[in-house]
Amino acid sequence: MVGAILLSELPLCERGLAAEADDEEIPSDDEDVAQDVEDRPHARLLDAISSMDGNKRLKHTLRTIHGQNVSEFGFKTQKVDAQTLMSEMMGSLHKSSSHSELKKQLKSVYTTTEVVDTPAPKHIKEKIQRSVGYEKTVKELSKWDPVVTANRKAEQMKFPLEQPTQKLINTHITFRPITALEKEIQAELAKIKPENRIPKGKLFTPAEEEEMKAMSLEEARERRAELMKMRAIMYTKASKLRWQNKIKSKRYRRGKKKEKLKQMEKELEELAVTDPEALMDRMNEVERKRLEERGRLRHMGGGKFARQAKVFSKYDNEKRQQIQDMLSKHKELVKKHRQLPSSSESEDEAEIPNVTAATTVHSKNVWMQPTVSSLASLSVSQNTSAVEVRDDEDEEEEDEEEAKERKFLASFDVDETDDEDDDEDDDEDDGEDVEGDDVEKSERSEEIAAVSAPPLQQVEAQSVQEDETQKTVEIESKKSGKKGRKQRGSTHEEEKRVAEENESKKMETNSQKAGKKSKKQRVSTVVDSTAPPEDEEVETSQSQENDADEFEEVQTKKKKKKSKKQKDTTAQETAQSGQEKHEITAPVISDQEKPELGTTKEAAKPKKNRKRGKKSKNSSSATETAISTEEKALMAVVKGLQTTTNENENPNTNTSKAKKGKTNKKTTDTNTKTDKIPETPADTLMTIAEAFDDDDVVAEFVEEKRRVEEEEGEKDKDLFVPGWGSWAGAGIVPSNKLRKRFIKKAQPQARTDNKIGHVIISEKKNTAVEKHMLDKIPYPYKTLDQMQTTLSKPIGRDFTSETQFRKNIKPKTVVNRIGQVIQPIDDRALLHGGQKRKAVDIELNTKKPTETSAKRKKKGKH
Amino acid sequence: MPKIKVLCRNPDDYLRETKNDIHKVPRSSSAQHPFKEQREYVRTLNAVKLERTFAKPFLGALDGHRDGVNVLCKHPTSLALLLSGACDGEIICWNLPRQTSTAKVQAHEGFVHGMAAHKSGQYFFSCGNDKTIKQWSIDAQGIIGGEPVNTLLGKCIYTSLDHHWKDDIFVTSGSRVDVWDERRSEPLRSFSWGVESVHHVKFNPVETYLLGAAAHDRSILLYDMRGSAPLRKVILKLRTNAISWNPMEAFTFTSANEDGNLYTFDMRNLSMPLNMHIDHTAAVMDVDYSPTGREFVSGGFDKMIRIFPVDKGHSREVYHTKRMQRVGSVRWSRDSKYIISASDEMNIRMWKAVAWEKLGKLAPREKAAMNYSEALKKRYGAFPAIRRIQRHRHVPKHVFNALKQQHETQEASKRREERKRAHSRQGSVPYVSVKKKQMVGEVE
Repeated sequence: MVGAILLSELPLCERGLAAEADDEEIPSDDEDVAQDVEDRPHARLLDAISSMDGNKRLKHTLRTIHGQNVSEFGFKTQKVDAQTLMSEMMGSLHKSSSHSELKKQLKSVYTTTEVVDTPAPKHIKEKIQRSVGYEKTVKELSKWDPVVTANRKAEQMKFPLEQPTQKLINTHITFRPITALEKEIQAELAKIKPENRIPKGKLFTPAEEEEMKAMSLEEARERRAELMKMRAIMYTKASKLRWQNKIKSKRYRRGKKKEKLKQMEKELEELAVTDPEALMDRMNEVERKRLEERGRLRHMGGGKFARQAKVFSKYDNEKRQQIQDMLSKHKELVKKHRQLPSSSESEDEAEIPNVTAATTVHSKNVWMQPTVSSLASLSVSQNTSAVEVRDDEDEEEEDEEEAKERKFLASFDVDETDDEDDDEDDDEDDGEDVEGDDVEKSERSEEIAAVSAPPLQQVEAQSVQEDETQKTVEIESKKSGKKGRKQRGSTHEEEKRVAEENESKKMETNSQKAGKKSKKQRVSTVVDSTAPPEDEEVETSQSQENDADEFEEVQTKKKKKKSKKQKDTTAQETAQSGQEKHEITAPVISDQEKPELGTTKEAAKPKKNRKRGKKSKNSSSATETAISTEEKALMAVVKGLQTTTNENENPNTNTSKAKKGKTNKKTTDTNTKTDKIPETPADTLMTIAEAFDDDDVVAEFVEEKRRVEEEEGEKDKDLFVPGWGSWAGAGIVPSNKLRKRFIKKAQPQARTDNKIGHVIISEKKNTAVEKHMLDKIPYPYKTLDQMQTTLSKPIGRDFTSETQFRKNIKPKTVVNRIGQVIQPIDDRALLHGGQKRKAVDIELNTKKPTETSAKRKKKGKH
Repeated sequence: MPKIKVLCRNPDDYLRETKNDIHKVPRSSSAQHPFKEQREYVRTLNAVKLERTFAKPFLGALDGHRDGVNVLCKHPTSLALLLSGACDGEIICWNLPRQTSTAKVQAHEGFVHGMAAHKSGQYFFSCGNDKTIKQWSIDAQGIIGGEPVNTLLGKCIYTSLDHHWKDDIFVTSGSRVDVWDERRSEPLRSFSWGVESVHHVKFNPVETYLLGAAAHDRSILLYDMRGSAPLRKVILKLRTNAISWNPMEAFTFTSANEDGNLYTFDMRNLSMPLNMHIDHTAAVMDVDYSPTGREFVSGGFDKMIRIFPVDKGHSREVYHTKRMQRVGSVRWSRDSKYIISASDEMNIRMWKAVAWEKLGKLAPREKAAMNYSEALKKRYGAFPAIRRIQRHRHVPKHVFNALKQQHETQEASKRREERKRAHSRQGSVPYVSVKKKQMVGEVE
């Protein structure tokens, strides 16, 4: 025992070995051990020396483990220096004349025998045997895979695996007739044909089964046909949808969009009739979204994307386009909705100078600038004669203005002039190209229609005036009504006109240049100078309003750029001829079409805009969010509603109101499309600051901080208990003095943010809960949401039904009976997969149970 | 009639509630339980605390050996009986519920190295240092026949012995692995591969022709009893002391290693262990699977018994007593409820497999409550407050310190490797799995 304890320092088996030590098998080992240890380095040296010649020799081996076997690795491998060859041995045979028999044999040997491979060495043979055996076993074991995986996954395993099941089978099998009646019935039953009889262990008669089989086949066929049909329909539908999704046609897309918009409008109109509240909700929602966007300023253009795009835009037109879109989107969202002017027209009249004044003051403020549409209307109203007065100075101004406009976009443009030239060339050279672009053109015309619509104030102002203005309004209203149809119809005409223009472009003059002013510039000049002649100009333009003039004006505008370049070279004569041409074309056009024509011409506003429009229009319209479309629709409907309601009240204002509605709709249109004039970043910064001018953020913050302090601070404690120190009860009012005495005043708290003015540091933090909080989401869950939803469904008896509770608390392993041996899994599990059940069929005799129950009853009685 | 005034009381005020007064509370919707999660959380907390309160795993010690207990052998049919062999060659049969010995036999001279019983439970075999294999008869009461029924004289020391799960075949290990028929005096088949001496051999309980063995040359060997050649050998960095097959999965076994870890292998893919079970701080001497195949128990030179879930890297439970010395052998009882350990200081100890489990028959209500608390523990087990309580164990100072040291060593080596990686060419210091690091290789 002592020995054992000492030896217990060693691991078990070595202990056993050490204890053995009787050295029967290897008597020399123990004696040599000490010497061996000494000799080891020496032996190693000898080994090294002897192996220097490259031959492997028997190495000195030290055997550490007892056993009879000797290592197979210790043996010497003998190198065969000289191999005896057959030819060497038999070489002399050729010389001798004898041994003819032997020679013959040899010959046959040389010709016929196949040389057998040398048998593989023993260790290789064993290795092959082993690997073959292993692979076979592995293959054999793989049959357990499904069982093992099923068991591992199993929600519950019951042990022992062999669970008895109690299953009822047909009871008629062992039925034996005893009574007379039973026998009679049995005899009758015996007469039944075998196909109508239920065979043993089955539920149906053969006839029934046959029937069922037939039925099932029929049904199956029917079902199959049905399925096939369904699948075919599904396939065609899916492919159609896929195909529709891939359509790139702009026209198609536009049509689709329009459809959508119309649908929405319709819906809203319906809503307006059926459920005005819902409509209001909808409107509020739209307004809210817009406000949110406005607050977020996500489309500002200072983001990572914009910066990156800036870098790449030089080489990537698409990127440039995207930036454009983004900016336009931003502008659209950020735009403050102008207050709808109230009924009085005088106010509206007065507004015009206000707006112009504002433009002078906030020439850099985006929000305060008049919209392009308003400018357009202004420019439209101007007279050509007045325009002609202008000269080269104006052009310079214009250039400056343009430069300003492009300042922000400058970095995006590669070589604008080049591009423009290309575009022009395209327009000039390819008539076909023009035709091909008719989609774009129609788009353009659409936009132009929007542009031509004067802004609210303008319209209001004009509406008061003479017949002429009314006329234009009428035209406009018509236009808006027929817009969709007309645009498409007029595209061909437009094409023609464009072609004419292209011709006329080549023949432009200096005198015309004067007329080619950008709307904006004109306005700014008008405002800046505030010179009486120009004011007059406006007035005169209003009074003199001439359709032809307007048309010409627009035309000239379109060619402005081109002419700018040509101004030095072109002659005056040609210009005159060009002018004549316009004058000829103008009267040809019918009155109805006139404004539209004007607008189509207006499409040829500064090339830059046009060019940009070419690319951006479609994309911008595509990227227009639901908000904007909905907004439009809503606005339209609301306007419509207002007009309808107002109709009854005030028939006089009717027309103007209708106008308002329509024009307003258009202004929103134009805002999305034409307000692409970029401005410098400095401008934007400034304007943002101004935009939030009204909000007193600091005061708000101070107020909030005070509130937080109040909330988190200590409060006065009322410790007063009626009845303590005085009488209490019904009718006795406790004295205020006493009450006051028991109110514990709150002590002023030292807050961490007391000395920091611009921060609120909450003192609410409660560290008590921290120890109950998780650092990360535990294993089976992947998201916090998952975990929360799981934990929010409690498993307890108090919160769920009893059955659910039992299901919830099912343990993973169950040992059915105490003190039962659980045997390892065996082959039977393979048959059933996972948990196997032994089928213990309980045969129920018709008689036996009654007998046993009777017995039991008797027993119970005794 | 004059009006008589009577003192009258409401019976509800003075009568106690009886069982008839308990009304069925209608189940309310979850909206009416605003604190349902919180309530369950608190219940979990209480359940975990109760679990720790009731965790009393030690059932008793069997005292009677006069030397360190080397081998334990479960009785195949009776849960009450247990056989143990000591270092002085004595074999004792124990009655576990009574904690008494039923029979004592001086079986061998020197160590008893291996014991295994026939599936019928009528006889068992033992082998020892005296190079003999002895067959002993044993009856249902655990009385061992005074003289061995049969004695086989071998040529070498047999280091372990195991009986086939179905047939009358047993296997011994020594300088080679011998497969014996009970009726023959010569082995049916002998397996040898090189000069290793095999110190442990075990039959697969599912595919009963398969054998696993551990050899001195740090290898784990696999044999097919039906074939003539071994199957495969896998060599680890340190020696494997024992292996145990999963009784529910034919191809899975766990080896107890000298380095204090346990490695679970899938025998179809020996290039890397499936799992590495870390927590012992010294050599693990024995391992045994629960009959459910979900957990296994191990004991070793760190004087600890640990219970590992098969799919977890760390133990869920650690058992120790102040007097228990190095654990030589552990067994999981066949009903999966108990654990039996044998250690150097001559004692055999009985433990509960689940420390806080209530033994005996449970009322349905009790069972439901237990299951409920188990379900809750599973549900909220990851929450720190609950986890802390649930995982809290007291371990002896030497284990505590050793674990700390182990942790530090691991961290240090990790750091070292990271630094090495940071300062060498990319890809020259590859990421190697910890499991892979323990492997020397697989030999065909």
